[in-house]
Amino acid sequence: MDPRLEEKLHINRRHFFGKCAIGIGGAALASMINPGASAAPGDIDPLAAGLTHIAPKAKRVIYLFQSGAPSQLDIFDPKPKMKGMFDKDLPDSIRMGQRLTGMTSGQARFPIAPSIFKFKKHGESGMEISELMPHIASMSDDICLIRTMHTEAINHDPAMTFFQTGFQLAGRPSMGSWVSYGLGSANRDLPAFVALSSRGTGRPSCQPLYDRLWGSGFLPSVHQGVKFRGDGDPVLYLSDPPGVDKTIRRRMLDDIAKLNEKSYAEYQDPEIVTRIEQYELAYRMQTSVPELSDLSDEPESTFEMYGPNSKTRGTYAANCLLARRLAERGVRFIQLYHMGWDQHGGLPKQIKGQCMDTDQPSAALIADLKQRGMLDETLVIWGGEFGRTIYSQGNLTETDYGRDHHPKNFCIFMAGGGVKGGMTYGETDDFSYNIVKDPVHVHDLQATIMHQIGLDHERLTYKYQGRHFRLTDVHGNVMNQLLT
Amino acid sequence: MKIFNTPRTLLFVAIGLCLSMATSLTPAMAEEPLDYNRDIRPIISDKCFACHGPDDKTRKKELRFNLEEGFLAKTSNGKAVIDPGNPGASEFFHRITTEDLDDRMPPAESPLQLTDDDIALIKRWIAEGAQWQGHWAFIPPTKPALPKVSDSTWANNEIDYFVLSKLEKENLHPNKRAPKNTLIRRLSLDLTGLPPNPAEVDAFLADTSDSAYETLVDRLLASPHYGERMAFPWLDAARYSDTNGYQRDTKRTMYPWRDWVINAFNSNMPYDQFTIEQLAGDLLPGSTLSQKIATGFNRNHRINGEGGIIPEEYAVEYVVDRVSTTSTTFMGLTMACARCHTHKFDPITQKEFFQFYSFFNNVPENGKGNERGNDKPFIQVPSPEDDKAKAALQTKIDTLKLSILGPDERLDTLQLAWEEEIRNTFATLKWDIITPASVYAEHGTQLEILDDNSIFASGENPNQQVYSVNFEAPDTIRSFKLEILLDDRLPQRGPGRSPNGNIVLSDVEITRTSANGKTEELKLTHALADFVQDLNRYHVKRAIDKNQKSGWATGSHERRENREAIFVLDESTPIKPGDQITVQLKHLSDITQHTLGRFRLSHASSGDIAKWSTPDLDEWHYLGPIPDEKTSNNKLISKVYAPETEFDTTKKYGIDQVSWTKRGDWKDGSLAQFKSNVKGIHYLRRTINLDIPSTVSFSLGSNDSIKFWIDGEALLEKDVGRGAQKDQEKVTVFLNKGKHTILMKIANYGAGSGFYFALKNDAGQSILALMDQLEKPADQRDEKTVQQLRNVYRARDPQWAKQYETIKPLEEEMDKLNKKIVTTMIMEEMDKPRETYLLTRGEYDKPDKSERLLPGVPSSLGAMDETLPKNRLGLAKWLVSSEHPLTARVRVNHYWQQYFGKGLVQTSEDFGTQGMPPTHPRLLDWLAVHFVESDWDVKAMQKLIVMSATYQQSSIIDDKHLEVDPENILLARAPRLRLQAEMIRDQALTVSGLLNDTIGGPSVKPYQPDKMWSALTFQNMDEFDTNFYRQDTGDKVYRRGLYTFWKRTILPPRMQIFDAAGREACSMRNDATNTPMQAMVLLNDPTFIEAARRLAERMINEGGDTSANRIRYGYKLALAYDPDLERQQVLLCGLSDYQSHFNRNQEEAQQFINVGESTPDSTIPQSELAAYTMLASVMLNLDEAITRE
Repeated sequence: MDPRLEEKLHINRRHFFGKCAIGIGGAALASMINPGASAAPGDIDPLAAGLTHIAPKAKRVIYLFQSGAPSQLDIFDPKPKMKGMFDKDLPDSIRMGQRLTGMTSGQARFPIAPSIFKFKKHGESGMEISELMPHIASMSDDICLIRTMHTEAINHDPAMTFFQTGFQLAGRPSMGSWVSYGLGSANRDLPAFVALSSRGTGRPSCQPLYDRLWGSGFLPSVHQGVKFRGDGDPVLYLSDPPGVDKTIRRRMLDDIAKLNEKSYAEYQDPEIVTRIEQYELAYRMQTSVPELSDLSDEPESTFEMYGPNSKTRGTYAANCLLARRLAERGVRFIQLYHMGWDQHGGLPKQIKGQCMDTDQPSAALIADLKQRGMLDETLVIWGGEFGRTIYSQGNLTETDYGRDHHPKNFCIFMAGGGVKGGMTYGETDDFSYNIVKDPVHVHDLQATIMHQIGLDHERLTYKYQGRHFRLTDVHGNVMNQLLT
Repeated sequence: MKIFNTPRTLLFVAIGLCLSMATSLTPAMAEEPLDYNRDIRPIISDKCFACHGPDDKTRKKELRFNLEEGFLAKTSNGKAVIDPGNPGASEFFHRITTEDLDDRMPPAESPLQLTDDDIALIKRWIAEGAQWQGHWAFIPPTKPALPKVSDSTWANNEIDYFVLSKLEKENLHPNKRAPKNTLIRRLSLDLTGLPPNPAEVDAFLADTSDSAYETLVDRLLASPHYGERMAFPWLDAARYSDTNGYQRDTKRTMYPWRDWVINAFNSNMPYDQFTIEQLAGDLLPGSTLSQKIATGFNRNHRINGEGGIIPEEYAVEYVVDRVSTTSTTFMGLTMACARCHTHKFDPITQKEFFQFYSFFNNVPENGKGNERGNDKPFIQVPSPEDDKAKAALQTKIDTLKLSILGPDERLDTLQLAWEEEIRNTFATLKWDIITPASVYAEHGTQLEILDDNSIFASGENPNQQVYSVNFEAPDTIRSFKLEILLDDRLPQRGPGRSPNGNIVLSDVEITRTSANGKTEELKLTHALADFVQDLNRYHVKRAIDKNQKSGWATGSHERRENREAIFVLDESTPIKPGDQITVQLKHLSDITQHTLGRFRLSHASSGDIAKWSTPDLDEWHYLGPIPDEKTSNNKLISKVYAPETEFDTTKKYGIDQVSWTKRGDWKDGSLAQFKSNVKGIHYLRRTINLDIPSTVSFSLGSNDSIKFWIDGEALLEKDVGRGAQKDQEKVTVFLNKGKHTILMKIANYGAGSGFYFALKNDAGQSILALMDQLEKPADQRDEKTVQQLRNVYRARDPQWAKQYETIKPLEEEMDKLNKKIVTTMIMEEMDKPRETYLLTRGEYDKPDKSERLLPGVPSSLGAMDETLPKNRLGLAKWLVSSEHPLTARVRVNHYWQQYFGKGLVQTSEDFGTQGMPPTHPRLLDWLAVHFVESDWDVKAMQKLIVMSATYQQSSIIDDKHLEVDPENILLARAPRLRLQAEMIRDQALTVSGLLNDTIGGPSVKPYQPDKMWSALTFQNMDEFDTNFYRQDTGDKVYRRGLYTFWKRTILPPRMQIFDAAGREACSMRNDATNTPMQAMVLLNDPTFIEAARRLAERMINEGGDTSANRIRYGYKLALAYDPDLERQQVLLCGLSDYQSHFNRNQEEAQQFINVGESTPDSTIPQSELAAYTMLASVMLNLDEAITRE
């Protein structure tokens, strides 16, 4: 590179620095002016640079979002007393006039549908998990199960938006975007925030997903999650067009760079230098992303561990494996979505499919991170946007039932990243309808995730339309009880 | 990381830098006194208002610093808050500087701390006398005098005086005027969004007259593409989209509104009119279709149709969105902050928010939106051809209808006899009111016998209930009449006791105790009611079927009227005088509490009514799904499967071994979904029972294909892929007396499946309800009655059925015509305004009913003129009154942003106290006042800006710029602006000659990577769903970006990658980023490869014979100027390398030039075309190509 340009590149970074007025977060900013932060992955420890608010426990987050809302009653929250209550009405004293969705508010009765699945105690702590999730059960000493999550929304779109952005309506940045804004990227060839999605086999036609779930809201759009796709190019527009090979691509990029340098000489706009850099980064991503997405270098034992679907691109299992590879390369926030958990009817059959999809790969991811010594520094979260009702929606039989949306309590679990393993937190009533002890609000969970990655949810703010916005709005408490 | 010592300081350093930059250009340098609004208020608003601002609910210590009184006040211990001129004696200053951490403000735990610079400025401001000012933006602008400048020769117009005077103060000089090539490209892109073509460039270069530039400006302002360019940012503000934006994100059509905006700009509609028509066009006297279309501005918000939502919740969100969008777009205010509590920073109380909200709260809409196209209210926007075709068809239909439904000698004669027969039958029914001997109800319910012998229920209303009425038969009894009566004491006047007034009578049971003491239940054989809620589960016959689950439902929740039913005993067991009779009225169905409120019984000795009963249906038998992946979609419906030929409830079919099951949960007249997504077959079977021969019509719908049989005869077979809805198909058939079997087959092609079924037409009409009309002499009947009786009678005539069928194709044609006419959503007022209350914490279910709020505007912005109506029209007129402090400022600022990348107020969406102060306040005010004085002439304002010398400067940056003003706040140069997302593609299409520059019309779907939608969406195939992207073909692919189909939940990827607004909410600006994704789009997206190839063809075919000439021509096409030798050298050298590469790799060359829909020019050798395509791709990727200099 022209040494004159090299020098200007430095000025350019200063220019970036000056641009903080339009919102590059402190740490992200620092990584830009810190040459170390753009070295090759593994060369540096970005967390050691002291860029965070709090001493971080985790370097990254892998969030396994179960879209559609899994039934806590059939997987994680056993209610043995319900066995004797089959088809009895849910007592009014339990329901307490709680609002219903438009789907069951017209229902004449609320007959109790006990889970048909068997629960057993697992691990040293005796964590109770149903037969639907044998692999996850085998990891129970590594996971922290929260039985008392609760949320405010009662329908999918607002509830998912709330979970991912802290607000029910569209427009706010997603959790991953906040992390990208706060911490920047730890890999110069990959984005800080990546999103992946897969379709469930239990219910193939299911709740849709939306760009906004990994969107940057009012944060600068560089912080939006980059969607890794299960079809076509792993990242949009990544592949060279047909007939263009690497030699000629490189050749033409050099011409672009030369002409851009010439423009820079004339206009002196540091933005042109950034443009030159972005073309180089694009070129590197064209190598790094396929390399990362190509699982052929994994040994057969890996696929055995993640299960048979892990060889099929776009499945949840393959995405879990991809998540581990992204984690290894320093991506900060890896957001998976698995669709198909919305079991309004035919739950027993559908949920089996969903659990088959996610049980082994989720457990494998945790075990894999553990065996690589990465679990301590990676916070893994598994869960959906709300829970499901004890009463059946639609026809109830001995072997079949459906469940409606239930925001008042549901289960999620976390693993690694400084949370306590083998812990079961919170208690719900006999009907899994109300929280009896230790509630955890969505904002609390968000605050805790932020805390573990070294960000104070009250201090990571962005001024927009005159207000200092944050992920947790004006709420949220870090759940220290869950942390090591 | 030596700069930062501790993690904690890091963010503050960043914030501090921002502030120091923002303040680096204050008069602190120019040594003027500090200005409260510019220098002090931003600090205090940001750091102090949250606790000491407008919101009296959260205010601490009763200290408020948003008003001057707050500073002049004394603290509780008598100290002066501010002692002007004396920082040391000011408690305010003491508290922000004290070392005592308990007293120090802001409190240590607040993330918003004052910087040393802040404190120094406050100190200086107090020392200078602490002059307070109201917030600048709430004070109406006045026109300032032009500032003095030392070099007035530079100025072209007023704008330049304001800019230059600032530059001179900072010792900066404006850049030279940009070269003409740069100017024509800049102007063309800024005013039309499209680049100039070489002929236009040459003409401009050749025009050496003084007026050349102005001529060009005038030409561009007159271009029809000017309206398109101006529309785009307006669409961002108005959150325009082609989909609804929640969950399923179904389609809507708002493009008539989008086209209205384009036309408004092109016809230079004054901004006041532009405002009034969009906010209140429907309320203008004699409003035109165009003015109604304009009101779509406030219907562009997202609409939620998700299955389980609570409609009231979203009804509130829509209104809040209107308030938010209207206040931001027109006033640059963040009013929505005051939804949950009084605004923390700006003088808008929560009550004022809801008064403003009240303007927009009278739309006749549902919170739960329609997922099949536009949500009400909407309006058809027919083209003149549509109108003509409809009128012609209507005439045909009217003529035919008259012949079928009008007088007919044969039928009318038969009808007379029929009427006579009915009258005779019912005349034999002489009713005597029963006087009960005793009445009894269970579970603490009291029954009281009233004077008219009716019975009234009160007390407990348990879920299930049985009433008993005992009496001694005074006479022979064959029939009972049950009258159900309204009563003011009942919920909603009844007649039932359930909260909605409806009744479900599960069974009527008659027991007799004869004189000999024998007790027996008597069999009821017939039942007739004047109204039944449906012909299936709730038919009146279900009250005598001995099945407690079913019953007669009276539909009283929708039709609040008295009702009656007749129950007839078996002929062989009449009641004899003296028998002790008990009538039990049972309410034992699952529909709880739906009990009688007030009723009366009568008896009669005859009861020959069988002939007059209405058809009834039993419940569905359902079998499915039978998966069939192998048979192709359209064959599924005709292939014969076993259940078509046999009905055996014990047999099992398909891999899942399904068998016939009863389904009582599917309601006629409602869409039913199968819980199955597999490709395959579903069967539905039931019977229909008629007591008399009748013509029966069925309305059917299906997802996907449908076949329909009655008694084994196929009456309909349709192969179609679609979502189910009502009235997709109609079958009309004449049926004889007795039971008939209906069989329906639905073939599902995959994804969602379901059906619709309802009985239509007057066969279901009860004769009992017609008695009043039948008893009227023929010459006293009104037209409606005549027609109704005719319809009811003729439905029973077998010949007429065939005649009636002939209308069907015409009606279907009319349906098609109507469906073809596009609709657009509009604003409308309800006759009776919805009542507005303050919503506590902004929550939809917490209205504060203590005070009803009427429409009003925030008092801090100036009152509405008394003569203005208190509705949206008044509001719009208030906005554009010349005294309004914000409207004109916000608008000219938004225009300014379009040309300079940022507004004079950089936070163009927030003019409140938390927004940034204007960089050139006097210029802003001058422009605002000038705009109003020009009668809001929009084109004149654009011209004024682009005619300024400020605008015409070169964009070259020098070291001094970078040092003194890197952000270009002072405008000593023209900004280099990255092109907006849509312009980048529009430009590539233009320079390659691909552009289809049609204006307006339905949105189009250009190239997009595969499966972007389908990977994330529901898999339904409904025509309104946006689950599968079906790219358009032909020249639709090459329309301007303005017309790209905008799916809100999954944005057009090119748009999103180049920073387009998401359109989920109002957006007033979008900052340009610079990312690798952008490089990949320009390098790899087929759009740009195809454009490059077409540009290459133009270079070769039109650019002359030498490579150098062709390169120069290409550059001129793409960048509007002639490249210098150095550039030519780079490109020539590149071309030669590309050429030899593709010579060696012919196959690759062929692949490369075949990208895109259009075919490559076969007269050019493939490798040559590929090499030039690569060259053209280089040009389209250059920083200067996506930058407007």
